Amino acid sequence: MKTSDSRLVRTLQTLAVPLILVAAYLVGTLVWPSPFFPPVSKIADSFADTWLGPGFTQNVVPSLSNLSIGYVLGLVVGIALGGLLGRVLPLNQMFSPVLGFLLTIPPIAILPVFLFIFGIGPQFQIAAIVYGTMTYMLLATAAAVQAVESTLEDVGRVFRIDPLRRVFLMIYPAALPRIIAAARVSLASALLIMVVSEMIGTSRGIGAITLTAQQGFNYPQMWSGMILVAILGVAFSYVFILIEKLVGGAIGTRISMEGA
Amino acid sequence: MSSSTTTTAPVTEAVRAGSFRRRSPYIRGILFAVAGIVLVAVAWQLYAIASAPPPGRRVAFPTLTDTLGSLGELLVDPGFWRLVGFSMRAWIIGLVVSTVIAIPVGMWLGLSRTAYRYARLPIELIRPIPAIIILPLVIVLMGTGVNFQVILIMQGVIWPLLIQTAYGVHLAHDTLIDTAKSLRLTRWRTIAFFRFPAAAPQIATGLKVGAAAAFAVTVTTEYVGGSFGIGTGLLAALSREDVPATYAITLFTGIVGITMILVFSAIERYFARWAPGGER
Repeated sequence: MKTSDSRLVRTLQTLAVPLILVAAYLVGTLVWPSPFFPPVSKIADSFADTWLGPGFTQNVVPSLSNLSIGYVLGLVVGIALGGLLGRVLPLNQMFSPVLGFLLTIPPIAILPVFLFIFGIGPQFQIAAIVYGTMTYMLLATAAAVQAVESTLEDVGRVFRIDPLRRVFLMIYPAALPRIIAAARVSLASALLIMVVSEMIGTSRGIGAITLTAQQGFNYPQMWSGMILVAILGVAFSYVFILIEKLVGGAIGTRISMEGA
Repeated sequence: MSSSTTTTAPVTEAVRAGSFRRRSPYIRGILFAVAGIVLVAVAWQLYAIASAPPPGRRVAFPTLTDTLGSLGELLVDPGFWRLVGFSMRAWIIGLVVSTVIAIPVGMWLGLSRTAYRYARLPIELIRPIPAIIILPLVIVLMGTGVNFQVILIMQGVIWPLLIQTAYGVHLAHDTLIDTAKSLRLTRWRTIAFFRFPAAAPQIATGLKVGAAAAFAVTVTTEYVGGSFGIGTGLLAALSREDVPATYAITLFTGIVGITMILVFSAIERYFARWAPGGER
């Protein structure tokens, strides 16, 4: 076990596989040209045409606005009602099984239901994303709130902190790390619901354009769409890694101050 | 650390239980669950009746009784079970292939620090990519058969399973490995009899998550990609505007999903006893 490897060696090890894969793709497209694997320059051109400049407002903004509206709504409702579900045991016992059942339905199988109710349009996408985010956050927040040590609550009682303040200043902050972890998972699934719902219910947005590009044999555009969604997925994941780092410290200090 | 929770938990439970104190909490849980299901069912039925459009216009929200009627018809329809069979075949193949790849590679990554260093960034970059987005490319390359479904399932299943396995292997206590050393076991025996059992609970959790993800991906490939299976039935019901049948198939996928979760949770509980500190 050697741990004395220099920083440079470690950085090289980290970057090795991605660099090799990119190099392999570059060389591969040169040596064996194939319509399915267009050269990087063509993909880059198509990316700029489809997703940047005027393409950004036309194709990317609708998708991202549906995603952010749906995700934020689902998050707020899910965390608020999930807290209630975690605090009131009978409510939890009544609704957890139903919510758990809803969660096991694959997102694609619930989309036709939303198509019937909302018809084709942004309201369909938003409703589906709200639903996906909310059901997951409800159960995850309830579990997070229940996992808070009951002694914390007892301390609050002893200091005669009123119930509302106990919930917002003690219980929710203590449950925050788990809630953030759940928010991360549900953002990934919201992105998935966004793409799938665009593939089946509209001709606009990232998912729709990527699928139509494949059906119209426009492979550079198809690749550019895949790369855009990949970038979004990775970016969202890194945003949450950052949030977890920031909040992790803040939570620790706040709880210790509350106790003191 | 956990002693304070275990001693106070029953007390809080009893206080919270209030008037139900004498009944066992288990039975109370079941009663409330049944009450919740009945409540949702009644609310569904009443809302469907109240929101029914005038005759001749399409129903957006069928009554629960209509939906269950449709579900009953589906369950006796051999054609529907054929679709289910196709989905289950893709699901099983995809899950087995993913497991066969993810567990050995995950164990290797958990054992070798160097291998982990090489793999960390690629995994971090590829894992958050939704399986659905590689659908157009994979269709172009391999059509819409079962191979296409398996590739997409792999993107959905391999990464969580791989990470769980690596994490589980990495967690194994040093004393455990020292024991294996002092018994002079070979490298492979150490892995088979010490490393793998120690990681088994984490792997079982990864499998549970993977099984559900694999089913979701399977239905998606059928609905969007045009493979043959439950998703085909869903699409057909939607396009002939048979609203109760669409809701019935949606309910059916939920029943399949919850069955999978229950089976894999049982497996998970079984392997949890293998963990250091688990019940013997």
